[in-house]
Amino acid sequence: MVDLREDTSTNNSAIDIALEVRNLRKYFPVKGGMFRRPIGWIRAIDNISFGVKTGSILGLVGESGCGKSTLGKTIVGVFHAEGGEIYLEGKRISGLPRSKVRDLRKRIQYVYQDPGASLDPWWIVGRTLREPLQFYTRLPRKEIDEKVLSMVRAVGLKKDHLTRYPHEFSGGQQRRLGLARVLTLNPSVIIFDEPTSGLDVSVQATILKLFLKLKEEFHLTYLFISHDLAVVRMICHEIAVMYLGKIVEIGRTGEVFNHSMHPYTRFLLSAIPSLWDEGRGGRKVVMGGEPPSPDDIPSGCRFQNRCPLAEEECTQLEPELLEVEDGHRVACFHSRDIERLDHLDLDPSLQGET
Amino acid sequence: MTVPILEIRNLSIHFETDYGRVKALSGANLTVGQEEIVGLVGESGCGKTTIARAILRVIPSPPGIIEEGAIFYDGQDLLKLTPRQIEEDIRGRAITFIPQDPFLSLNPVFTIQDQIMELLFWKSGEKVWSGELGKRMKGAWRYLRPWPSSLRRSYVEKIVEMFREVQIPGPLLQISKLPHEVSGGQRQRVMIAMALLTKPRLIIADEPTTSLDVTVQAQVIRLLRSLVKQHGTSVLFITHDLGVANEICNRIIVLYAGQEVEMASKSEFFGKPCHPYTRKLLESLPNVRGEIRDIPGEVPNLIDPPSGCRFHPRCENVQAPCSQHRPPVLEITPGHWVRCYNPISYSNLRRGIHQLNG
Repeated sequence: MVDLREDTSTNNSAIDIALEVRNLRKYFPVKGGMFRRPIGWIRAIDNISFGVKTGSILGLVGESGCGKSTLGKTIVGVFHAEGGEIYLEGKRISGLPRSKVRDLRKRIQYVYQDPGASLDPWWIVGRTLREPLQFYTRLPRKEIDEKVLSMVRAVGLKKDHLTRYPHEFSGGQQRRLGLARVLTLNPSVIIFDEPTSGLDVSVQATILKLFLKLKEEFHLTYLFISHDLAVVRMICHEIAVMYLGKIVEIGRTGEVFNHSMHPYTRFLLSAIPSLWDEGRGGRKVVMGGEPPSPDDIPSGCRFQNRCPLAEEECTQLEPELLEVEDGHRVACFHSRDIERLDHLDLDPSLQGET
Repeated sequence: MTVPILEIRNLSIHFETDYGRVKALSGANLTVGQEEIVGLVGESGCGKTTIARAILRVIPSPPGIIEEGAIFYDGQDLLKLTPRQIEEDIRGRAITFIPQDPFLSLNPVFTIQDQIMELLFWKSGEKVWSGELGKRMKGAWRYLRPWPSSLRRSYVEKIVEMFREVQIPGPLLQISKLPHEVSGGQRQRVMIAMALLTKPRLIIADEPTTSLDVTVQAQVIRLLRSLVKQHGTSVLFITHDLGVANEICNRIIVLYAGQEVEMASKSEFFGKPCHPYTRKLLESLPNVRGEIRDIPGEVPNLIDPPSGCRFHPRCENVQAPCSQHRPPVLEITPGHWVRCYNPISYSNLRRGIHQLNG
């Protein structure tokens, strides 16, 4: 067994890990009573550790409400973390005073889920794109304009687009603008929150192509938050599967898709509507139930009340994220005999036709 | 082939806007057979929802104008009926609708039970429009008076039975909740229950699973498929997700810029797509091999659509007549129709789409 912390601390000097998160926690208070005192905590992110290699793409997948976006926002500093450390290119960016992190934070950027809503409807696009540079740098206006124009060209838009308002752009173009805005600051890591949701497949393909092109051009590292497993499979090098604020499985894309070791991952993969049944791995089953509310997390393993493999042990102890193969970590007591899932007698209503 | 339950012929609808006349549909055709699930797929803005609204006669007018065409339901042209006839016999009774976002279509200040009871009152059993009870329940009075208790009891029984059928756990508890108190998956189940309650012969489902997670989506698709089979209902399933279409539909119709371009059974469609657009669309899906292919160009502006075949500016197989005349419909194999001058032929093209993605 290799502890993640030992594993990565040796790599810290050589910067081949662009973004590293150690034991990150983010709890939200549930307030109640007459004085709105916290009466409970929602553990949105509970002890998450992972690293993203420079120049690679890590996909973060899971159902809605599992904490994907909260994790992304905590990393860029929108939320204040309860505990844990965040390292960007080997330098710590968490827990420092605001004045010190400002220049470091510039290097990590967040592209919001709904680009239409994250662009100011009253501002022409050119002004929105200039704003980050005016805030972070003291460049003269002429240089700012040049930089903005070069980024707009890099994402495939034209100069006369700069004088338009956000509502005049299509969904795909708005996404390009969101990307151009963060690129002006020359970041090393970009976090995408559901970058392709709401796009048509043909536009989605164009946008994904652009992401990959820009990654090479500007030497970027991506953290790709998505619930679209097919997209994640196509472009990510590594995948982390989240369930109720925890990573339950992380590994190389091929490993996770073809030899997933966690029952939740198996269910998630078999739920993808697919045109091509081969390469899905295992039989098709539909998971019953819905994820429990995060303020009422079951004891022991969080997945135990939906898991067909759950036993006594699962209800009492919380499984740790352990390495089962090189770089493939799973948090499940039954990861070794996961194949049992294929031979279990499931409720007939849950079984697929294939 | 038996008489189709729904047949749309040459339907053209435009909307008058400040920017010009938007030709949302220009001569679209489609059929839905008895007990058949037909998938209507296409990119956003291609006219999918306009078709659904036209069938239910809820195109807002102005700005929408139905220029020409006919919608035959059971041999009866829906466009020729009066609004009153539609309200009493068709909408909500013979043809029901499952919306994309259940939260927007449920009233947030009434319980689920109250809303379904209202549906049952107006749309099931005898026609109450002109009756004494109907008059009593119209307008604001409806909200001040309690339901007659005998009516209430029989309605609750019906609702609970239907909720059991759509697998909502604890139906008696759930019916007295407000819409925001139940989860997204349950809300969509409520909408499916509402669509089935009046025993319709055709259900129009407008992207019913887009707002759901993949796991819940899989549950809802399975449920819908089995219920429809059990009740013998036909479904027009509108979606932009070809994967979902593959999971649920028997037959697939592709729309592009307000016109149908290809109609085929599911296996034909995914195995041998003949229209260049369809093939490009299938290729642009995320695939196992990891190469990304997009469709060059953009979806045409419907105020000033391209002449001839609407896809010709983006098409690789473009020929001389493509830009001048609307292509004729060709029948490739029985039941597989394509609107193209130069469809992809599979006799001299050995690679099917399956090999492409294998």
